[in-house]
Amino acid sequence: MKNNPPKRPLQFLRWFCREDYLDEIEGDLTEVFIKESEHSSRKAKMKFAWRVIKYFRPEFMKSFKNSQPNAYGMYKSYLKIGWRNLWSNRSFSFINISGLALGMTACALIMLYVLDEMSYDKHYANGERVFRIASEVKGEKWVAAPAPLAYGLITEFPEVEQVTRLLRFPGAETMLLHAAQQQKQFFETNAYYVDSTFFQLFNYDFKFGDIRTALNEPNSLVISEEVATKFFGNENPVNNVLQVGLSFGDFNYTIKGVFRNNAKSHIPAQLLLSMNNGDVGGWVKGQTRWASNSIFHTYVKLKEGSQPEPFESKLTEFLKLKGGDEFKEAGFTKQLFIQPLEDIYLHSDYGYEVASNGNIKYLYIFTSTAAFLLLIACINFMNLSTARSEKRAREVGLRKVVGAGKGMLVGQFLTESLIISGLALVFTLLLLQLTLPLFNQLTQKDLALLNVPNVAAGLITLTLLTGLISGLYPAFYLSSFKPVATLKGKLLNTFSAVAIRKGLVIFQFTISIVLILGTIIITQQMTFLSNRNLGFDRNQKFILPIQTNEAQKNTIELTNELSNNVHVSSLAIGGAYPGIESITSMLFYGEGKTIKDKGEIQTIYTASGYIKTLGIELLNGRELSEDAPADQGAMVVNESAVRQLGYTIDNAIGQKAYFEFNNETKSMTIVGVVKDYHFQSLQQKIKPLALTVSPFFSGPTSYLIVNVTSTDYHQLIEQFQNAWNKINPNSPFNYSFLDQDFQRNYLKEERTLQLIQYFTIIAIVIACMGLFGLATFTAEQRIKEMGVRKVLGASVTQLVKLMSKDFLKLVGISIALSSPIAYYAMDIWLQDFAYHIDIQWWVFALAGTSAVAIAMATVSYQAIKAALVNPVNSLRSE
Amino acid sequence: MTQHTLGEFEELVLLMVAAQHDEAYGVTILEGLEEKLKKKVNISAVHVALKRIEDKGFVKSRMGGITEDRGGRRKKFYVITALGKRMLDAQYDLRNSIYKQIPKISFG
Repeated sequence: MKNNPPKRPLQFLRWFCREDYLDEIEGDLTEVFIKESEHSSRKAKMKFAWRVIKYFRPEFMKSFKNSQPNAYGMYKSYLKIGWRNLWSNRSFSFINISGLALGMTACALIMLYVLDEMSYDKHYANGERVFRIASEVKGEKWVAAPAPLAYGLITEFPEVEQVTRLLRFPGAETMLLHAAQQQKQFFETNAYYVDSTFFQLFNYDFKFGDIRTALNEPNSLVISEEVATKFFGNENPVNNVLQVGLSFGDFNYTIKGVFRNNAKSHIPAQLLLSMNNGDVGGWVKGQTRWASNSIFHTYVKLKEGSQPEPFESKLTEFLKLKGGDEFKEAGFTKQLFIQPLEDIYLHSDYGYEVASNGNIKYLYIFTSTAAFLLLIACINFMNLSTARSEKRAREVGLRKVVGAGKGMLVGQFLTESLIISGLALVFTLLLLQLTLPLFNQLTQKDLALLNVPNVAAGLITLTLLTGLISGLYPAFYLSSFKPVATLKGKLLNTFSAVAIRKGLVIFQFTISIVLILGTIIITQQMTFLSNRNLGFDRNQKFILPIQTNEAQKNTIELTNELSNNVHVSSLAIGGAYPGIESITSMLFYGEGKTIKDKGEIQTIYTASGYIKTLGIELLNGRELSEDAPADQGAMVVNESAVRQLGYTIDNAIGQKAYFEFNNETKSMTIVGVVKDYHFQSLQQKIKPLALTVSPFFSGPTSYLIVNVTSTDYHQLIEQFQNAWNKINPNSPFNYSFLDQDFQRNYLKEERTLQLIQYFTIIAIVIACMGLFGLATFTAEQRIKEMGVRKVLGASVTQLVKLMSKDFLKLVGISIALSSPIAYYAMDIWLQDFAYHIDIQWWVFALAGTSAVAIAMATVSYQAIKAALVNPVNSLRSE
Repeated sequence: MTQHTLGEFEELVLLMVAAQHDEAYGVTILEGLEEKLKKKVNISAVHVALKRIEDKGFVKSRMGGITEDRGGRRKKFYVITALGKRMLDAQYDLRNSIYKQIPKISFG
């Protein structure tokens, strides 16, 4: 009909207008409308709407205060009924709430962890325009670049706004800082040499000093707040002089700034020294070659609006142009690529990182595990609610009969699940307070609930999500009952509901078993790593790093002093020891080969006794002696190096290895061959290696490796310290153990293992609680059946078997499902290690049996209880 | 009891209710006023005035029967009360007496 007033304004009017006025107002409005619409229907409609709006004033509005109590009463009833239900099924509520609380705690912890890991390098202004130049040679990725690259980029690429280099100088990572006035000295790590443009790319938060001019002068130093506090308390240290002690000398720097370390970065700097300086400055200036000494971390900031991809594609060509001859001579080519600053921490795990980075893979593992834990807990709620639906079927039926709609029932059941997740939140908060210290210890982090922005919002979202996930299915399932059927008392457990329940149990156990398998395999791999014959003896070895110039000068004296100790069986100086990064290498080729067959061989500078002290097996020839002048041109190589040079272990002695230096061909004579030993962690394959006593191959770092026979380490440390302090009165004593240093390479893996272990336990506990709940329910339901069976002569064993069979079937399916999943996932993880275990069949058998055992233990309690009930009691009343 | 006052528009509406004795409801009052005043009047203004004079006791109302037109809504008829009539008389007297005091000046 044309003459009907527009719908929406009318609805609006009916919504707000007082009931007792509505007849008059709506009637009058309609009458006026009808009259007007004879002229123009469109205009009349507009006028009608406008008039309705004019009625929107207090005099005509209904009192919404009065209308509220209805809805309020409904929610109150939801809460009341929900609470009563929880209370009357205390044991089920306990299972639900504690399970959810465990799952939510795990989720919250992982959420904190992941947020922290993702916060790295996100705080720099224009950080999205900053990239690091990395390279790839024969599949090996390396994140530092040769020295001249940065200057080349800024001068020849118009899209580059600024460049800067950061130099982690091998051997200058630990510095002895000395403040003369304060008479204080400390070792500091995480010291980096940087170009004066550094702060134009990385805007640090300066507490003292001027960020714009801080590194303009040579020998300037910027320190972190922590370091400043150690030396100067809260005073402003700018323009004070700090002496930097390195193994090759002591150097004075002027402090030009103090920065706050209030955001995380892949550059964990405590000290930033200007690259233009008196210690390594001269060496840096001499670096003009494009093919060697790629140890400068080079960062570029692109101009606004310029695309990184075209820039990246030009880089390799640029390098070829600049260093073409050098690369031809060196016999390899190099591809350059860029890494976005914000991605470095989580996505870059290549050669020569500034510091140890995170790993996105572990974030995925943790996040998915936490999500699965929560899901397992939610499933408990779903299963227990639907399994016990029969009990509530009458309630649902009656509610429907007296007029409740499906929506209202869904609302009621969701309220119940939200009450449960709300209660779980309370326990979660308690659990979080208890577990955060442990978790921090485990992850070496400093996480706190209150440090995270929007933590309340996050937790509430988590709670609501949990409530909804676990509540939705039961709510819709329960509210879909037909009132007639329920009130007649028809059996409700339809086939599909039972199937879904079984499916969910299988899902829970599949996840649990995958976690069990993961734990077993990771543990195996870690044991394998720590027990593997490394080719040297890692036990009972002290490492005394020679980090100051004083100690460097007095090495011989110290060696002599310590070798007098009766507990010291042997000791040696070395430029590196197994397990730490060693990056010095040279390209060698063997006799009868040409320069084109060059291959990279890692070199380690050693003093006499290195091979003996480390217990490396000498296959042929002899050890080197630094005192024999002839040995200056000699080296001991490992089996891989022998093979690479084209010799055999038997014929290698006396052969020569050639290398080019400053366009001159030089040679070294092989005097010994050692068995391949793991001079790097087991993530890496054993590479060709040469040990020399020639100072030509020496670096700035050295370590004194001391092999001891006593296990009374406290006494030894005291003795070593006394000897050290006598000889090097101005250098603090420092020591570590070789086996611990070696093991440190697996820190990430060990942390993962521990976390996964905890997760596994939690997952099993939650899944078992659910199973226990279901078993309890089944036992209740089948009590009469059991009674009848018993009367007819069934034994208790038969009854228990009967009850447990159904559950064990589910666990069996889970084992079958989880094995391939776990195999696939763990195989990927194991590929990270060059040396790893093979996954064996018995691992699956073990995980399967333990899952069955755990499930049995959970179910059998209820099964036995049900089987032992006196049939007279269970059958007495009907 | 406080002395109720009567606004100008309220007075007009009250007069109209009195004039359309027993037949007065929103739309007739609106149309009557529009006809006399020769301008558009707001229906909501009429309703506001009606509510107010009803609260003041100058009119009383009754609901009409259900009708087919106007969306099935009932009409609300207004009748003037004795108090309303007195109020109108008083207003009229007041105005008249003051009017009479106007000197006979020609404004021609």
